Amino acid sequence: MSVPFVESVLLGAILSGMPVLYAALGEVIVERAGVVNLGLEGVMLMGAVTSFASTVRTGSAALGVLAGATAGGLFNLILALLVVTRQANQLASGLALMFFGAGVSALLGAPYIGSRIAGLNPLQIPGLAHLPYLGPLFRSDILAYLAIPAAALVWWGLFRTRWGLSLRAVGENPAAAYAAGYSPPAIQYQALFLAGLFGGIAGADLSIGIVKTWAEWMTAGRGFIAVALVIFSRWHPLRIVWGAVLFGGAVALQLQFQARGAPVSPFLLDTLPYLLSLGVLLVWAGGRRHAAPASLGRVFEGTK
Amino acid sequence: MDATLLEMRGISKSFPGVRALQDVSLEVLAGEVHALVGENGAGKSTLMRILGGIYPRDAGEILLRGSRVEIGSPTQARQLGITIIHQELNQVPALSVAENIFLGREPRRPPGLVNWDQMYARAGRLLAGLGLSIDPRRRVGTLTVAEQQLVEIAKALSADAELVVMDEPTAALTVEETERLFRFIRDLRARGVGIIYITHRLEEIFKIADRVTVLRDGQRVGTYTVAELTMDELIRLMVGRQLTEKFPKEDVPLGSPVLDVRGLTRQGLFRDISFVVHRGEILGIAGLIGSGKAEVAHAIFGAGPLDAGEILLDGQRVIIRSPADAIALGIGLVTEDRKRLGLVLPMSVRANITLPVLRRLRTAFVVRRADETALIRQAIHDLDMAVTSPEQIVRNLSGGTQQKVVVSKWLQTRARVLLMVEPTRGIDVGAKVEIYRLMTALARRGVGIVMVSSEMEEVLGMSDRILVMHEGVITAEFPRAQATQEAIMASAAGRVHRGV
Repeated sequence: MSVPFVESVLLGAILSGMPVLYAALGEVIVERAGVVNLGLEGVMLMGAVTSFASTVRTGSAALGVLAGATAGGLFNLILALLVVTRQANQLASGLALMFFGAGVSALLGAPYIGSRIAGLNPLQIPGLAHLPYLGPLFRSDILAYLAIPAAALVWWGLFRTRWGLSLRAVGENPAAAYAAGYSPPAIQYQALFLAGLFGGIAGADLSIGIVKTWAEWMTAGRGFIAVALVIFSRWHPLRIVWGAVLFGGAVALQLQFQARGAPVSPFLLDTLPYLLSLGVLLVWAGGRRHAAPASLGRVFEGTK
Repeated sequence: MDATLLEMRGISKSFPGVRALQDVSLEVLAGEVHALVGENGAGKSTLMRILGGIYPRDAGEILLRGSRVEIGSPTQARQLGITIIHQELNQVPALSVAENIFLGREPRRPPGLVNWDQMYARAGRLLAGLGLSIDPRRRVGTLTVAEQQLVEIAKALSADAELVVMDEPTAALTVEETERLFRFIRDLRARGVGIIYITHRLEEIFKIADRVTVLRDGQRVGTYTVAELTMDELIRLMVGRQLTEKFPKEDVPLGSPVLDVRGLTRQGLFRDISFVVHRGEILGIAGLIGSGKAEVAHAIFGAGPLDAGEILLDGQRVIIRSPADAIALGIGLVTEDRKRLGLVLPMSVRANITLPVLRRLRTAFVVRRADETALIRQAIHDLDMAVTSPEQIVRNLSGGTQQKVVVSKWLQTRARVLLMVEPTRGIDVGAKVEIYRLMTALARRGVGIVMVSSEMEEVLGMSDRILVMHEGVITAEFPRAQATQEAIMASAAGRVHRGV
């Protein structure tokens, strides 16, 4: 294999994988708290459009990231209102949120279709950026560098802090957490807001970090891939990293095949990452249900 | 030792349709083991839930060390030094033993961190102090029920509780584990902790308790010093009153044996269960919760495999591998959990009753609506169901009417044996009588009925014959004429009745 091919795939894996990683890190937080957020796709789109628009208006990509994260966090509070306060069905609410996010982002993004921006600047690490094969990894933008440390941070937060312990207890047995003096609704609100920040950053990474443009529904299902990644990682933030890189690698690989004119239908190649996700679920999903938080998707009605 | 720790005065509590507690008082001293006893439904759990901040009370007051307290939440209860070890353990199976013990009061380390080393060390010391060799890092879900129970007790001890409520703590424990628990309890008592001890195993009261308060039908019968009481006196206090004519039982001439079970055994649940039920007979099976009596009925119905034993229907040996087999053979089961297992709540009376017999009512793939309607009208008439129309949704019916729908469903399948588990649970008194009348009518038609019940009164009132189970075995059998509440209670508590 040629150096450029490997470099392109590696770079592509990082570029395509990191937004999914951010999104999945958010999802693992909410799911550990017992909420399934199928609206993640919509949250990412809100983050993507807000960060893009903010970057165009202010000229600052950093402000763009901040705006995108905030938008994602606030957008997720809609879900919190529905599923925590109003105790609505989580799956239906999540899907509704997804379509709502897609619609609102299309509306907000309409003026920006076709605009191009400089976006986040690549940061070159001296001495490493020009290595063969691995070089591209050290010419990424700040969000790509921070993604894996973010996974470690989420792991630490979930498994080492008091907040994380209480959050996991809520996801497993909200009644026990309540009896121990924690407030399940408050913790789920916090988890959803935090997950929204991650989802927003995921969208920002896509629109101002990678593609540097805005297109309707530019997430192309990455929100759902992130939900699937959480399942196949068995709700563990560090294992999500591998899944995200695998998914990103598949995206990059098929793009390279297409670019090099492989004698396969491009439409079929487009489905490669998703086929891979399906395959992984098929192999890993069975018999691992015990890893899911016990109260995932259930409504906590409080104690009578 | 004489200091009054807890006083609950004049506590009353009603739920829709039920007066659970009426003017109940309870006084617990520091350094006392105070037993709380009563039949199922006497109000013990409700009283403890009020104490634990889970239910609000309707009337009365609670004093702790002489001052009035309001207990609005489990957290408040704990802050006041009250720890309740529930019968249904409130644990998080996916978390470790130490995490469960310290959930909500983790050893802290700034900023917002858990001091894990200290937590595991403290949990380890705590468990070791109780003589338990459980790794504090193990997930609670991997422990046995008995171990989980002991972890729960460790949790109570670590919380520096002044008042510990134990609700049936020995239900899942072996004799040795129970002895160990009693040692902890005596140790706690010596430290001046007050203990409220709820149990159905009356012999335990005489081993561990100083005083006992007896509840019956939501009212306090009295508080007694255990040393001045005998087991027989205690049982009489618990069951108390005379049976009134609430039971429309008729003597039906018994027919041939319809159900004959021999040596039924299921590891860990029941063993060597043998009995015969005749046509027209109502056989009552009494026993405490956890005695295995419901499991026997489920096993006969094919829900859960048998390790040994055989079942004969009308003298013929049958193999029942699934509820479908049982239904085809003419066995019906009225479950104790009718809302979950017995009915499709969001569907109509019509759908619920004809669901098992649609096969009989169809031509090709189409249900013959007119025949179905005729059948439903007949069924509603037969059982005198309080419904306005066959299209009424089952969820909206009263408990008694719901139970009639369940029974009616089995009548459509022409069941010859009806297994009824807790047939009147959650049903008000008036509707209970109707269910009893229905049972009598069924018996008259020649159905053999097995009634599994924790309600002593209905067992005595409705059965032709009574079996008593304790820890998975039959400990006594009484013909109707010889059965007394005292004798049944004693057998249910594990005394073997001589002359079986």
